[in-house]
Amino acid sequence: MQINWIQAVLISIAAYLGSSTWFAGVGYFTVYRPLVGGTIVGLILGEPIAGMQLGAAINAIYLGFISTGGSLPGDLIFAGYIGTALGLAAGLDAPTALSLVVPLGLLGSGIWFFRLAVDSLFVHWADAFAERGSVRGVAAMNLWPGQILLLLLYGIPTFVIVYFGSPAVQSVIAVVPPKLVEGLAMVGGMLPALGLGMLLNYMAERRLMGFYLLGFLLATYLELPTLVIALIGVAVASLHVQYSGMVQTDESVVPESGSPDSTGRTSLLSRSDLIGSWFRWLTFSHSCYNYERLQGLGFAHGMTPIIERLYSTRDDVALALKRHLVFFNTEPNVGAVVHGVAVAMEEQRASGTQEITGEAINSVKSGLMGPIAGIGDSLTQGLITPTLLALGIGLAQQGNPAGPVLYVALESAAIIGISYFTWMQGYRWGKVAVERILRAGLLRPLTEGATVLGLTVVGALTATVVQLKTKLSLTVGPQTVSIQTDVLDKILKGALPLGLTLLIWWLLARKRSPLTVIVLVFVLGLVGTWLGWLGWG
Amino acid sequence: MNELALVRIDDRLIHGQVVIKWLRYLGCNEVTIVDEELSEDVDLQTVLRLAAPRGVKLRVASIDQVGELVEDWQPCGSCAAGSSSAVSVEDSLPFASKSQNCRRRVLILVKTPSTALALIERGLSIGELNVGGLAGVEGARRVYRSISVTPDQMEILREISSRGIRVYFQTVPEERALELAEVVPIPEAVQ
Repeated sequence: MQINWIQAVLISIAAYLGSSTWFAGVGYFTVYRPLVGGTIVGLILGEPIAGMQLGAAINAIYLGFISTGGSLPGDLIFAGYIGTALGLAAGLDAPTALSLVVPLGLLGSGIWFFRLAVDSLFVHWADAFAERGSVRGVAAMNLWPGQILLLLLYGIPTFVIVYFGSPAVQSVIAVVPPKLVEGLAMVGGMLPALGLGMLLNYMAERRLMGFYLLGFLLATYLELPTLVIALIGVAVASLHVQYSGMVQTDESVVPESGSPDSTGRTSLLSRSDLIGSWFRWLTFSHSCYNYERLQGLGFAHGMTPIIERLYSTRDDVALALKRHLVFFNTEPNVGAVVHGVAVAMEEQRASGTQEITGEAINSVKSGLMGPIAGIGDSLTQGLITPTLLALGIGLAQQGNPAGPVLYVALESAAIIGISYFTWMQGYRWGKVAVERILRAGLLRPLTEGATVLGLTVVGALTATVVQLKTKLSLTVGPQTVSIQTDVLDKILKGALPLGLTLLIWWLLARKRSPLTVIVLVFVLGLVGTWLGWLGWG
Repeated sequence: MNELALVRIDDRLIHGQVVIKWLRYLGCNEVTIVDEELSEDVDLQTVLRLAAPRGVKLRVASIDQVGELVEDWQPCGSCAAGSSSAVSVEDSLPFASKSQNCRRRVLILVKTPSTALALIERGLSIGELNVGGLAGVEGARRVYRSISVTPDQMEILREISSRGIRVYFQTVPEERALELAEVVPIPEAVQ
């Protein structure tokens, strides 16, 4: 199909929005991801289901994407938005398009680093506003320059590649020898195994691999819909957690302090101040993410309603702004507790009932941000998101629009829920909140259960989203035996996708870089097809 | 005998990059944090302990306590000082068996280059030092990704390097490491 310039503009805007800050802190988990981005591009181009399926397949490759400084060398906007657009325009089926997507993702990977570097400039502008005690100025610096930069960094390349690239892709595919196209399709079928392998490398423990096998068998033999497998996963997870004695009913685990430390606590902040502060942290924490202060500017932005309420002289305001512009970085959702604690401490400092210095506030922030990030990233990026994504991808792959919709709903609820809960706990309980949250003892059984669910769904995904078959056959006398249907399928259906995924996991565990594995998959796929070993038969 | 897998400078100590990436990559089951302030802050130690992943033991020590611990930390035969990586690939596989003599694989975390130097001066023998995270403070210059170094800290890193220890900047294992030698030295006049 031809992509007209209006569609190209819309896709470019969508690509920017996918990376933008406006979606109440869930943008990074939803519109940023190819599963959702592909569906949006599909809607723009009039093929929502095809876009959704392509987006889902692309997302499978990046299932192990955990950003604590970058993991898979690839940009999700380029892979998801531009990849889907080009794939749909060229009328490619999902596997063939996937092999296009990986180079696209690599192409875009410099953008992240460039953005973080340039955003450091805007922090200095914010410093200048802070010096003048301008709360509005600091907030504006967190918001506008960084977002405008993102609009340019993603919008322009997206437009150029989509508008001028799609006819180019179509003409290239037309002249490429069919054997090569077949090979690329083979590679595309194999690539999702990389995402699954990366996720297994992070998430799996050998003692839990039985659940992976369970999910795989349910998908490949019973051919159950993904949602059903997920529900079965929930059932076995809850059984497992109970029977392994993880749920503690021991009273000694419950924190002793019965109520928040309200002795001598003055309340100067209104409910709307608190909500406003939380909401700004939730939404804008990464708006101007930069190498120099990371989330520092976002943290200050979150503090602006509080500072406005608590301090009136220009000097006090300036001091408070500068205090919170320092380096800060944590997982933003579980780490919302730190923001809440800081707000509580500022309130007490301003009321004068307790002697709290600015240094004390910052030393609490810097002490907590590290450990919370460890827990938070493991939970949100390492567990909740991949599990829900796997579910969404499974559904989307089967052509069910519930895939992206359910994913967005559940993921948003989880992220916003965690953020609100921990922020408010931090505000109510102060430093103790962190211990309360950690000690509640809920953490272990929940993460264990979630891991079981995750593994079950990933097992199912291995059967459905990784595609690999051999065309080899043996001729013995008058009889021809097809290795795929007569041998492999009779031993274990889906053996090849399973084997490939486990092989990739093994390679990654052996410290091979994802890039090496990608190259390997390309070589295997292309050579295998050319030799006539691999193919749909 | 414990096996020392890596010494890392990271002012955020245990956090996302460390927990998710480094501990798994190195196959460590113990983290020892050496920091004066932290060794006296029991509350924060509790938080850190709770934050450490399941199966990873956390120890917090002051620089003086390190003397006793240092004897315990010897690189295993396969992780000789001066080799290109602190651990050999085979030893860190989840699939391979752990070498018989090593009970625990330790990751040492310190907050600053000066603590790292203090450890080395107290007898810790290492082949390389990972500089993973230093926040951008006043007077610091951004060196690589989110690592910013003040001139004083740079001096200390050079001192460490002059003792034959490989000093490199790397945030996560899958990204390229930047060697100290590749960093353009800060002109004296700018200080």
